[in-house]
Amino acid sequence: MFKFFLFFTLSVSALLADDSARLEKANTLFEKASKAALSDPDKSKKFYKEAILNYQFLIDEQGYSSPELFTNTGNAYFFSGDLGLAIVNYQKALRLEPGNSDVLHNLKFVRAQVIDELPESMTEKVVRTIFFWHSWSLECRIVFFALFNLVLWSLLGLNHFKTIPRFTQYVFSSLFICLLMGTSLGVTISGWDNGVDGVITEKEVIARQGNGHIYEPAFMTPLHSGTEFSILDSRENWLYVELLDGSKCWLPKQSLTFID
Amino acid sequence: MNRLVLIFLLLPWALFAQEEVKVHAETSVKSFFLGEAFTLNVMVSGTENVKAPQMNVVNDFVVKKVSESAVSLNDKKGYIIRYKLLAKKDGNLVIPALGVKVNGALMETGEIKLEVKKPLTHKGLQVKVHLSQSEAFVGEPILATFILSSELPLYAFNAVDITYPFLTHYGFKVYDPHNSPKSGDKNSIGLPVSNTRIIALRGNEKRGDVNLDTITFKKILIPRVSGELIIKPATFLASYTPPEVKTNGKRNWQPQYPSHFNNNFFEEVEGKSYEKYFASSNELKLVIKDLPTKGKPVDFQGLVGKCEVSATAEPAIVEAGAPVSLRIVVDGHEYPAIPELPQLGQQLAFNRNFSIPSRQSPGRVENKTKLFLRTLRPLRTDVSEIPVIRIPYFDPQTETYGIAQTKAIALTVTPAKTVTAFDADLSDGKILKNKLEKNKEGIHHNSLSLAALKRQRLVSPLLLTAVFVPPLLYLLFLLITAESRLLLRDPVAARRKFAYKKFKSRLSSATDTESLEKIVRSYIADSFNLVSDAHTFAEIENKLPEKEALMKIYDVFDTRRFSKVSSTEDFSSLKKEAIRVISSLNGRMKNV
Repeated sequence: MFKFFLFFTLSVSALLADDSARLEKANTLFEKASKAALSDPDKSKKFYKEAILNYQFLIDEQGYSSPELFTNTGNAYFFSGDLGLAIVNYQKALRLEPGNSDVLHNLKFVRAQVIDELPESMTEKVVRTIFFWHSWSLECRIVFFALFNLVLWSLLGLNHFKTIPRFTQYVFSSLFICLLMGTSLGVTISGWDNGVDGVITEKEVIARQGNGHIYEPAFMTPLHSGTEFSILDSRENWLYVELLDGSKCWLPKQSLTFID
Repeated sequence: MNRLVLIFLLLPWALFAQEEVKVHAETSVKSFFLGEAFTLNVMVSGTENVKAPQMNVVNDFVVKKVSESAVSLNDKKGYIIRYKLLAKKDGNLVIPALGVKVNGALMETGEIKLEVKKPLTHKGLQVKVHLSQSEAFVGEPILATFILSSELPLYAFNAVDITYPFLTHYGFKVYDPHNSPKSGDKNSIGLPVSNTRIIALRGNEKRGDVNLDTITFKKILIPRVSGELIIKPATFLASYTPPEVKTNGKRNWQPQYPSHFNNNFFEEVEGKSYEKYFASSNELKLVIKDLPTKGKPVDFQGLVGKCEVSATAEPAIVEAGAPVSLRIVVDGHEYPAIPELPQLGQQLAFNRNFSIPSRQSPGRVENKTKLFLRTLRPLRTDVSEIPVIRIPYFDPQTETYGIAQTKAIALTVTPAKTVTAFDADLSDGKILKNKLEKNKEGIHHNSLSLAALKRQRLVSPLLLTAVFVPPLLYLLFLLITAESRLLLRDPVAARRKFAYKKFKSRLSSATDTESLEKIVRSYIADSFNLVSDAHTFAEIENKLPEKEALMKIYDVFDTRRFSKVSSTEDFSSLKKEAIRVISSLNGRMKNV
């Protein structure tokens, strides 16, 4: 029994050491690629691709799943010129750690590089204006929530010793703000406000009005790598999707990569 | 009453009638040649509420809407819709009545009759377009040569219109060759071609016994899309007035610029009879192939055609921030005007080490080479070289990609000796502050930590703290202030609680009956707000829920005090009894 335990422990340690070495190798390749980018773009791209292979091995084969790993993979994809897969990996990182400011920053920047311009729909604009605090950073909302949570419980505590004028008013105001911030935090953490199910990862794809090439294109121009969507329906090899501006179309599955 | 109703009903009509609405259509010309465009104006006076007519009834013309606007016509509201029309055939044609929706009602214009004359062709008037190749890759330069040759004297032509489809074709970018004629050249001539002006070269040619006047211009075409492209013929349409024969027999050529050819398309030859001549080239077919993806350099920007590049920089030793002039020469390309230098400011190798102005001068062609001048300013003293400048290209001969690149140029950067604005002693005594502004561009750094191999917490500790710490602090506060709150809420209960607590803490110090009596009496006194040594059982009797047991203890105390006799065994049992009775009493009094 002891021998088995020893063998098991040593095997696990060896595997972990191997994975750590692979991660270090991937990180080193990334650094090499960044240095080569200043002198030899071809070599730099090669290093980025090797770094991606190593990161991807840890994710796909070894089953690791952490925001840092996905962010690194996304960064490598971005620098190697693949915006679509960069966005996929940033979105995966956000699934694990919603509101991570670094990932959000990277995602915002890479989205700005995507060819397809999808202006915000009117409904989204209205919702964003009404629930303006939801666009604050996660940290900012947590601080607000903490502050008013503290005020709420402090009021309840003080009330045992002292009569506080407008006590009920203050308590309900604090409670209300706590509820607003708490709900917003809950929505962010659960990912309800990020309805992206997938990203176009093919360089160019023609969106159709129906689930087949027989249908006319949905837009006058093709869609490009990096355009995000949420899935509405699925029929064989086609998906009915909604783009970030609210427009709907059918896309062939082989051109897409899914977040989950 | 009936009159009143009548006036009421007629009033809106009377008001409406003040603005009489009229619809009218007219053309800029009534008689013209096939190939000439003309303008059709649809005018509505008296209102601005107009919907443009459906033009699909105009079958004999190609129609293009030019403008649509509200105007003021003789101090009245009005509306004009302007169209450009081109006849599809010759003969007597009619623009039918057009239905215009005005204030929601349909009104019609009148019919317009037009005479479309067929222009003449002349055997000696020819247009040719010659392409350097009929097959090319996307981005590969093709030289297109336009030649107009005429037996008729060119100076006798007026109102010239030349169409050259390459200029308007979506599939091509058009460049001037480096050796194109300039407007000031002796034999140059300005031509109105496809709504633009082109400088062409005038010449002569002898074909057999016939002398021909020629006009030639060349353009470099860069195909943008792949596939089989059919290019419409280039056309020439002009009014010809036969020249008067001079007695000395010399031609009346007027070579100065602008020439007869720089005419407005609609210009009529006033006071003279003229003929309209038309000539066109053949339709052209071009096969454009896609560039291969294999071996394509990452920074390939679409240049097709082999070239070489070299660079020199001055000075080689420079202070940080001082300018370095970089002279880059692109050589060996068949069409020197085509190669462009990549934006150095967008290359990491340059923008991380040098300050490069965003606007840079375009290259200029000198002796079949293209020269680019760039100014760089090294940002730091550790910059040791001007990096390699790469121009990736596709060689259509070998059908492979190549890279023309300069050699890195060594550079010595010394610390800046100049005074910056921040060093300057400003006259108002205020220190100039550097306001840092966050750069929102770019992506953030990678994580190098091995923690990337750990599973991530779903909820951050910050959030857990925010949610749970305040209520936990509240509970802690409640615990700490429990006695103070009890004192405030129920002073009697608090007194009893403190008395019992005190009783329990003092019990360990009770070694004899006397000390035990003091502790018990103290408890009773504290509980009922009495004096410890000066109260009797009678004083508390009525307040006690369990008086008998306590009375016995008080009796024992009284008895022992007077007898002065005690044993350890009795004291021990007395102490136990006292604890039991006080505990029970305390528990019962809580419920009182």
